Amino acid sequence: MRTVRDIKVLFRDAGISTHPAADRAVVADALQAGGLTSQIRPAHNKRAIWRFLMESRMTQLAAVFVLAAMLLGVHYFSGTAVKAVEFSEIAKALGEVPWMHTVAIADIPQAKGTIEQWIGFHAKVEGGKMPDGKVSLLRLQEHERAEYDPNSNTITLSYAQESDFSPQMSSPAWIVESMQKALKDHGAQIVTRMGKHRGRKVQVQEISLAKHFRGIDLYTVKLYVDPQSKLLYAMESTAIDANNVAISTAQATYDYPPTGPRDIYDLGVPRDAKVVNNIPANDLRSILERYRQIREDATQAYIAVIAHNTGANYTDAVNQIDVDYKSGRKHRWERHSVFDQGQPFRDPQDPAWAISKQRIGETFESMLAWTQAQLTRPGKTWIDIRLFDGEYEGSVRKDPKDGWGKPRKHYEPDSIGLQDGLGDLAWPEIHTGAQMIEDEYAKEHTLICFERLQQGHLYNGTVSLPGRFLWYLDPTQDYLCRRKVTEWRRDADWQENRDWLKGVDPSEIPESSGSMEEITEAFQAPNGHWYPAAIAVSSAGRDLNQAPLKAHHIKRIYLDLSPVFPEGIFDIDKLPGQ
Amino acid sequence: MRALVSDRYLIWRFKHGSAEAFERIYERHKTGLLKLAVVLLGDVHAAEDVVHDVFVHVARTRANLRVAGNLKALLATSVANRARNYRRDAYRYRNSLAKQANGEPVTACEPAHWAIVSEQLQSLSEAMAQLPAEQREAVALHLGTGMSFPEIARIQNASVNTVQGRCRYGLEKLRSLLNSEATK
Repeated sequence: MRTVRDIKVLFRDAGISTHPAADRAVVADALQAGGLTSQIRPAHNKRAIWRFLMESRMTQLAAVFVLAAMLLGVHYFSGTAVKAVEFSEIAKALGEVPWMHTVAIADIPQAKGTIEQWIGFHAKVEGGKMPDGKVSLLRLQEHERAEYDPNSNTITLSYAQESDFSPQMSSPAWIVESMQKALKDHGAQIVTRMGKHRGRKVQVQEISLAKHFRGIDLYTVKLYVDPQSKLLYAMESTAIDANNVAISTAQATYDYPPTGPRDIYDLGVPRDAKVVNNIPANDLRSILERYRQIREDATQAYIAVIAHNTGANYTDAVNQIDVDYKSGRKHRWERHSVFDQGQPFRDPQDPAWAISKQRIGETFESMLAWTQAQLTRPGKTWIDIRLFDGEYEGSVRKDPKDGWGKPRKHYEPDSIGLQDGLGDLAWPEIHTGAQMIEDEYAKEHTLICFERLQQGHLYNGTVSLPGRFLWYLDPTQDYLCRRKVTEWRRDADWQENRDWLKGVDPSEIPESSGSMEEITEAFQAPNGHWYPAAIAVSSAGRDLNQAPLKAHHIKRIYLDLSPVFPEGIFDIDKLPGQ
Repeated sequence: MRALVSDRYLIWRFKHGSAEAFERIYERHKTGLLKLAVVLLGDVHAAEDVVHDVFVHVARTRANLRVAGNLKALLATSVANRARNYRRDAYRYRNSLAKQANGEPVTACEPAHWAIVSEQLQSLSEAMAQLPAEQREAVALHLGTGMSFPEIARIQNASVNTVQGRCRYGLEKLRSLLNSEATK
């Protein structure tokens, strides 16, 4: 009979092990998101052969088992019948050869056909040929990745970082360590004997794992190791299901040539293939790191008043004011409608503008004071407040019909904080996967441009058009994002699947559209940082190429960078409407 | 206490840009978080996703980490919050596509074949799956991470008494489930 204590012990002792290769992938991914690079081991790259093979979770252990043996083909367990060639000896021998060349015939869920791989341990080069004819060559010293697509007969060159290379480039043992642990945990057996393979005297290491695991009942791997050189010579592996049917097999041979491919043409890519060069002029990653660091430093503590004129096509009147208070992690954002019903101006002669000016004034102090008075003023108006106090996120809204609503409060200690406000206006988030490009506007204004292209797709019957996002950063002014462009295009030339809208009701397909936000005025504050003073927003419908777009929304930004915060401004329990 | 101090040092180093410190944080907490996620979600792949998201989020928001904070509790809370969201959303992957459509950043990498659970953990997670969500969360946070009832109460936005009740009822049911399994 289990007691509560037993259950506690069960919680403590119930085991879970992780795959070091995947651990490194997660760490690398997280570090990339945080703008950092792993210092310990190279991280993973989706496009590398090993990564390609490991993408599917379907055959978890089988894939690791087969893949590890296939790509590296070395393994070691102690306590065997015949003294095995020690793993450390194999690793040492591998470390002394300049190149390793693998030819593998695989029939596993992730790949079927012949895979070839070259690793230049000293030259720091990694090449691969996949069954579908795709070829890749990564050269670490040149920071260059070349990828050949036989369908388009195109070679694409892009910037390669150290983290793009397979871990075995610097640590031949990485996947073996993980396999060793995983298999040990599952009780794998190994028998080592001397034998022959294709007339050659070899040591055979037979590893087997009999365990029902996700439809697979038995895994076997035979490794053929040259007892003299301690190098791996060949490998065969199989995963068998409960009906004794092989569901994945692989055979590989290994050789160690003195030289390897110098360029992608040495791997059989035709000389007439088109070359698309996407290698950026500067180091993309270091720019993004700098960009994010500046945003962090420049937005530590401030009060910002942002005056909106959302009817700039008609008038210069302000009809909405945001107040943005920030102190470290604490952040409060308010949006106030200047007029009770929140309407924008349409008529330049509207007497409302004079009333508005009288109400809110034209300075930081007058507008801030007006917003503070609004919080306690009875009557009908729109106010929206969001607050993060470092632990809790809260929000409350006042509308002309019902007055203050009930404040909402959630415990979110690891929240990224509010996304509204100064930081997002001046240094908006640049999406993962953006590439540095150099277009006419960037060249003309000496700006750094990042571009991200997105494929259109259908989601629950809703059409999302192909998207293009551009960010133009000014390296001379704290990398302020001078211009941000968003485009949604029906006729996007970057859409890979041209038939993606086949069968979709035309009335369900949105028109192309786009918008642009541009910092039209900026200033340098006494703290040395640059900040936007005015931002113009414009948008276009059908014809995205028409220029210049007319701004319909102007935001003016007033800043206090040595703020004295009103008492209780970050106190979530003092939100209105309690 | 020693681990907490060390966590603080690692956070401090990580905030100052040390990737190695992050890797050590990861090594220290990954197993506990994966276990927690597995018992909360009953699905190892979903658990991998959730824990992956938590670490990515922590790295992305490292500037906001508090050196003085309890990292273990913070990470466990984050896993619990995300697990709750995950359960609510049966179409998570579709939503991730929708996110992409909205131009939001999407994490580029999935942890393939990451976690391998023991049979013990598997049966525990199967039993846990039969508890109501609030009880499951309370039990997992209390027994799995050693969180106090007031801490769990804050996460669950409930009173301490309610959380104690959830734990008690949850444990009773868990005992009965595991005992019946043991006698099969």
